[in-house]
Amino acid sequence: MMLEDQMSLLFIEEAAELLVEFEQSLLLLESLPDDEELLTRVFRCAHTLKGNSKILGFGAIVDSTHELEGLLDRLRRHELAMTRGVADTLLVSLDVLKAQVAEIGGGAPHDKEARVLASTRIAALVADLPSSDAPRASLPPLDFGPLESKAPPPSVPFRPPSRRRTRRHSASR
Amino acid sequence: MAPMDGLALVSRIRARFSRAQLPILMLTTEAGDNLKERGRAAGATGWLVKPFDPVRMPAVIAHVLAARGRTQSRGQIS
Repeated sequence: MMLEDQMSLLFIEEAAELLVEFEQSLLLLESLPDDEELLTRVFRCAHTLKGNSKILGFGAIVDSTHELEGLLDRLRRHELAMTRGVADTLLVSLDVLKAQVAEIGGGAPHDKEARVLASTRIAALVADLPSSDAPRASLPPLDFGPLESKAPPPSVPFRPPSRRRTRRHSASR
Repeated sequence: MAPMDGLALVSRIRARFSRAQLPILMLTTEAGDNLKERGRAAGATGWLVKPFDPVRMPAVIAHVLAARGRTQSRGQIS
């Protein structure tokens, strides 16, 4: 198996784990909207997925997660509240990401209309802000590691999946 | 819920116990953001909306308890 295929497999495995964590945290956030730790967890999932996608050139996922990060950042800064509409938008975006990851895994092409709808909803929420001269809460930038670095990292940038490690990616053919 | 409503009850309980001491989850039929906002102001930690998901309820409680455990282990309350 080509290195590229192995990288893609690793990407898909980790993306699946990240999306599960994203979804679980999001569902908890609906009940516990003031929980900063959950919000940070959701943000970290999107951010890590973006970084991994960037490295492998999965532009559609980079774009989706980038938009998502913008919305999550507004939430982290308390410029937006975790209303039902916001939670619904995050779930719609999650569905798009799942479809995009599935497409990379050989599934059907993701629904472009759903993708546009998610983008539009995010844009509307992000735009619906007080004027830009409103005081912004100062937040330290999150540092999740070197995923954003421009130079290609020397090693595989995402951790190998902790589970299913024994599964053979390099089939003997 | 006589003689007071749920929000009043939450306020009364919250007046005696801090958020770190006692998380309060409201189980409500209303999902409106306005009610959530009032619940938050009264001192609720979170909300579960009826009909609730039987998977979500224990997950939410587990998360609240885990977060509380971490707060306590950091020594923020004795």
